[in-house]
Amino acid sequence: MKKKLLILILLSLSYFAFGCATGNKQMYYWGNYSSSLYKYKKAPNNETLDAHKQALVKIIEESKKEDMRVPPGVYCEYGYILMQEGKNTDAVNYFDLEEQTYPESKTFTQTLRAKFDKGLNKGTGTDTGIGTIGSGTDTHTNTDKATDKATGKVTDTGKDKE
Amino acid sequence: MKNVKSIYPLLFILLFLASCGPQYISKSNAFPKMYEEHPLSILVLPPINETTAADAKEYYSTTIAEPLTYAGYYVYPIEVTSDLLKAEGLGDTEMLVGLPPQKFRGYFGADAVLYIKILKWDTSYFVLGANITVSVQFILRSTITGETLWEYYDTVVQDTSGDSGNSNAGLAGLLVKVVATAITTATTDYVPIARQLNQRALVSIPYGKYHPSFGQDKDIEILEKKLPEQPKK
Repeated sequence: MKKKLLILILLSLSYFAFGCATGNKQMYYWGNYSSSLYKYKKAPNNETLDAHKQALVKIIEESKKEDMRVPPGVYCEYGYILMQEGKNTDAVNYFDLEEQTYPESKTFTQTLRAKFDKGLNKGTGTDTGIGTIGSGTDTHTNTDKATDKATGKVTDTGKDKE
Repeated sequence: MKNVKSIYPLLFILLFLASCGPQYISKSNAFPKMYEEHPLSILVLPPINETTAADAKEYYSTTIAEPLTYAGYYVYPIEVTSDLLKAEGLGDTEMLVGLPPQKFRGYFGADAVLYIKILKWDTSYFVLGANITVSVQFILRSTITGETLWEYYDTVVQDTSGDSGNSNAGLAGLLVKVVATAITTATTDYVPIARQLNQRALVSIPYGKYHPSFGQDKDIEILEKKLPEQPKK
């Protein structure tokens, strides 16, 4: 009887252990990615965007330090933000890095480059979407921030708009 | 002897759990097409939000890329891809769902497209407590055949009932608890719960090419969780 019980306990333990098994955490360094992006989504403004950019830069630096591959999409996302800021040459370098690290990204980065060549990022009025990274251009968000500062409530106004 | 007798009820419970409990199945039996096609790059589409929480879609999107890459896949940066889709006039998720998955191969080069449905993202209050529930369905489709490669759904419920502390069963004690529950519930983020859900659900996906154990997980047993088939198109 005791033996049977022991086996049962062991079995349930192994199920439990299996359920908790997750991916290999040593594969990438993702740093604060998810949380800084979430904070930006919650309150899209220059501060939270900067924090997210810093999170991306840190991922790239730490990955190099630890001799790990930069996680998929990080170079590209960072380059995309730079492009929204008009820093096109820097941006293209990051698209290159994404392609070198992940050749399967090429179709996508090419599409992206073509989009920007057509001038998608030009013109302050072409907001492609609300609440996405860098959808507002610099001037746009700056004025937003100024008015927000005047009212003293950054997040509230942001939320109302959403 | 007394000890042995006290085990019986426990055994019955265990037997009951074993017979009626969830079914386990090997990854290769559950998702054979994953092992035929070996998709590498996954395009995550903006989730379909079936809840009343308007921000669930945006918030949930911040949680999925990371665990998917740990499973060994190349994941297109969701922030960028959703912007691109919007620029193409495809910001409306319902419209995206109607498109054949093959379309995304040419535009993104993706091997597979991940459709996510947020089924629950809400708080339910009961007399002296509250729960936060997040429920998500995942369907991964091939951009070559359009067929389903992997699918799963999961629900995580978190109890946000306030701690009663020194519970004098008096009315004042109850009131304290109700208030504490309201505060805890209001300040509990859904996002950590969503992250927990992703981790659990992605245990079932066969490893992608960047995972060190790629191709070696066919016999790993997983809990099969599918939603009943819905009429297509």
